[in-house]
Amino acid sequence: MKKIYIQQDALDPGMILESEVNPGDGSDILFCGRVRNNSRDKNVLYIDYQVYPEMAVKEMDKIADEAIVKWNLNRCVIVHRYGRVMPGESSIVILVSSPHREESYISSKYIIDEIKKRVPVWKKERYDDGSEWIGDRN
Amino acid sequence: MKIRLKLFASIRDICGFDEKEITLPETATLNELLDNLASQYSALALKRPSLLMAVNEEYSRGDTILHNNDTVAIFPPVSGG
Repeated sequence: MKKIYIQQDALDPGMILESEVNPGDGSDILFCGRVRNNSRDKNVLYIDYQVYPEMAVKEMDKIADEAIVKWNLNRCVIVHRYGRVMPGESSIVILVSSPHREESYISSKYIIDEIKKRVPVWKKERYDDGSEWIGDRN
Repeated sequence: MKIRLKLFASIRDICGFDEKEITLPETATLNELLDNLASQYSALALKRPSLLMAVNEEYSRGDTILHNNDTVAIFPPVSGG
């Protein structure tokens, strides 16, 4: 089972974890990326996520396919949020399931690392005294 | 030929639009499109080394030849997750 999508509404990791469970799988790894209330010694009020929807879904789909083939995953769900996300809220949820934990741990890290390199999503952090696009800081 | 141009994040801020249709000579490349844009927006030229580009939602190099009705996206390094 593979599900890849973006949404503006708050994410529900528990619902994702419990949907379409495969009884043959002995391990689920659920990764939630959350917005922090601080960044580089600044107080973060919120993050605005901008997305190129068609390409973001396409790239996440490719990354999921790579992980499914390489680690024989039976479930792979990637949901990325866009719009305004407040500190403490999840911006991304990645669920992977496979018969054994080794494949689940490795594939979960692979997926989030590749998303950060390849998927066209940008965050703009809002501080007390202004805002900044994060991809531009290097 | 007609190209649909999409800009994102800081590049959208610099150029002041998110999407527009532009006209280019036949066989123009992505680099030529960027030359054209950078000549209008000097701040874009400074960011050029780090810019990423996509044609029809696939990452593409500057020497890619464009075709009528292609969708081109120009954006800074991604920062999702």
